[in-house]
Amino acid sequence: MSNPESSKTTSKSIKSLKVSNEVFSNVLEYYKRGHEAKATGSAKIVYHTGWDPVEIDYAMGVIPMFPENFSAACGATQLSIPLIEMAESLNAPEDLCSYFKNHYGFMKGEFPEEVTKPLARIRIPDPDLVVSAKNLCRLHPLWMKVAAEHYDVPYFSIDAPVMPPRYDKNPVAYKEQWGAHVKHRIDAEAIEYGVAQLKGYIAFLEKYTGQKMDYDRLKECVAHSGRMGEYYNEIFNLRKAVPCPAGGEDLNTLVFFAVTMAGTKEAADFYERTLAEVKERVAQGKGVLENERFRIIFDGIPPWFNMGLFNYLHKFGALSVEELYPRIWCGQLDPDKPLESIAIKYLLSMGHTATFSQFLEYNRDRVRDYKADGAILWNLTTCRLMAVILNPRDKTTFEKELGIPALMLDADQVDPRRFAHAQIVSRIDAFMEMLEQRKYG
Amino acid sequence: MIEKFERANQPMTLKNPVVQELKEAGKRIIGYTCTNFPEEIVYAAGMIPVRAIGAPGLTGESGPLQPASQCFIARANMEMALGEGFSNLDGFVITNTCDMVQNFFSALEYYKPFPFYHFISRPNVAHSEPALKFFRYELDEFKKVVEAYAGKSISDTDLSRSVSVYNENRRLLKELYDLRGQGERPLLSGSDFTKVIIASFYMDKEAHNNLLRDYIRELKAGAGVDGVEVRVHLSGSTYPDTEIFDIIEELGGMVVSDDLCIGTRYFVNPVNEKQDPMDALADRYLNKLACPCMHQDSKLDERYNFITTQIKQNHGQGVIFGLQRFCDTHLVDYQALRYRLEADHIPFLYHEVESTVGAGQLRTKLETFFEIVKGA
Repeated sequence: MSNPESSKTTSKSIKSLKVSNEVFSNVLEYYKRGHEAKATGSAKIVYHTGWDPVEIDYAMGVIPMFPENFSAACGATQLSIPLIEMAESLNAPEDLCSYFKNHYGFMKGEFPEEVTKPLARIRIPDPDLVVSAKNLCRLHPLWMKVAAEHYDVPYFSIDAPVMPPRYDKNPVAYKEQWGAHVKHRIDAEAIEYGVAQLKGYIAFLEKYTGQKMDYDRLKECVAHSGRMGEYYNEIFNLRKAVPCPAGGEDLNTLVFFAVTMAGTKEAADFYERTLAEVKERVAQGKGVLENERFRIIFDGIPPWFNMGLFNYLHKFGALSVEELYPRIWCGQLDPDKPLESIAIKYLLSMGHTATFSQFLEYNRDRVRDYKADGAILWNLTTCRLMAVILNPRDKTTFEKELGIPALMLDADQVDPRRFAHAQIVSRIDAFMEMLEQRKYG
Repeated sequence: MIEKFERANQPMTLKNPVVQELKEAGKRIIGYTCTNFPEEIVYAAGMIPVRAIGAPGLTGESGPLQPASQCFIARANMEMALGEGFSNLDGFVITNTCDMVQNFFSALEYYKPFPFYHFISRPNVAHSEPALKFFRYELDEFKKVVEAYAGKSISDTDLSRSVSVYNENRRLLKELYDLRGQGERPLLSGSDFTKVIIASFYMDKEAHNNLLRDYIRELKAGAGVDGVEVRVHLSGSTYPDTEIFDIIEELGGMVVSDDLCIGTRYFVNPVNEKQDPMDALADRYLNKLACPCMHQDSKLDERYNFITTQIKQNHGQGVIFGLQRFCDTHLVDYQALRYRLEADHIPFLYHEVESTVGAGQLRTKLETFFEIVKGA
């Protein structure tokens, strides 16, 4: 299963699930639909940041589009460097988010044909409206404000309240941690505030589309999303099996549907098929690796320009069996409480809004349930969420509290200039050697 | 008499003689980070709020929860909180404003270096009824824990008195601020103004008010500052000392106005004394002068209007952005503000600072910038 090309700086990954190979054509189809809608004016294009309540978009008949997704696609197709360099030439500091710089360079710069031609295939349509939720980082809403100003279109931001440590003393409300839910009950005041934010967003869409929200339609979308969440969550649960039926190279690709299409029947059906394939593998006792020797937790936005690194782990008999990044989009939703459910899924879950204790509790469950031998923390040095909040918490909780080694690798998700390939690979080699001694003596 | 303020200019509270005197007098000292923290509630309970603004000369290193890719202010604050620098504080309260503060809150939660610790979940949108309602609830929760820690309840009279002392401080700071830029000849330097405002973070506000009144009287009778060739507006967040002001002044410039967290963002917008004090505090601290941690639709316009108004009122000739490296919120806001400045033909200079302001590079940039401004 391992990919002999995987040690190159820009290699693609090889997936083990059949369904994973359908994702890219769906991405292109998704973009195509967006461009058609833009050209005909059949639906408004709404720009979003990564973790936004798109169920509301589908209920309102608008099309969500993600500049971050565009930046990731630029990374995967080796187009990010000229765009990022353009942003830096316009005084965007080097330390700013690579996703932002990639998109900022794209918006503000002019490029030669050798860049514009390949870009045409992956570029997203210009927005009619722009929105962002502050649930992952504080740069997101500011980035979207810059985009809204550039395109001269209306902008809306959704706040996500940070959960105070006193909530940790509230009773446990969830038996298991769905996606990125925290276990403890969230105060009613925070939920009420989250719901009010969503109502504000609906009013914004109503104002600029000239249509009223159909709440029955919203319930349907929430039901689709809930069904999608159930399948998606079950896929994560099945990965607890030894050997693990699906690796990080698959899940980080499959996440596309959960990010962009939550609330559609299409996305729910896709994960239903994915779940069936994963179930079958578990029933057959079939893992990604014939001889699974190490189970790894991989945290961080993966290097889209070198997903083959996931396969590189295979040569050590190691597999990424659990990742926080694709998991955050699994939501448990109740169609009878659509806005409350969406608020909990997007605005009051793990992101930057969780406390250290909630994070520790979450990691404790992950290490135990997934029988993790170690963790690799893909530390995006331009991402404050990863480099300042999540990875330092991971490093501390895994090593000091939970007793598993964690390898922190400074790198990037789309900027290969920030990726010292030889050094990264040699550190992975040394880490695996250490795990070998630790586990097998 | 600027020396009297300078005495309180040490952000490392353990080495600050004024904080030590308050401590020895039996006062409880409570740390906080951001201008969005409602100090009045702590002051009303008889305690002294003091502000963490980093400190010069630190390495900013203190373990795994202290990554390098966050601003120096956050790293230095953590070094002091987990080391000796803030060891004379009784407690710390965090108001979430940026991702760095969020990380600071995580570290305090994990290492528990202070007996009293609280987190106020402050909304990041302003001018919104639901945000105000949620923030008001958070402030009620905060008041309860302060009362429990102080061992006494805080009455409306206590709060109103506290608000009145703080409002007087704001009024005096505004009066002092105007002495720099409103007239033809600045009556004090940007550096001295900053020493006064930094002192206000570490003194009992009543004592600061008394000193300020005398100082304003003295300045009004004085001759003012000579040799000011270029008057500038300084935009940014926080610095732990006056180095950036000193360098600007050495080269013939003068900061006559600002939108800094150790400047106008701290003292403009008084609390409405005619309202219920808790309602008024929630309103003031949610809706005060916009900063990049806010992200509602109108925020950038509010910020830009404030900057241009300050330039106009204080006869400014250009804007210097002195931004902390790794400060995403300010760095992204700058990307939007610069296009507005360009459109309005207002000259501006961009410079990043870290544990120092990078004096050599800043001097070279300023020399060129001042030539451009003078030639404009």
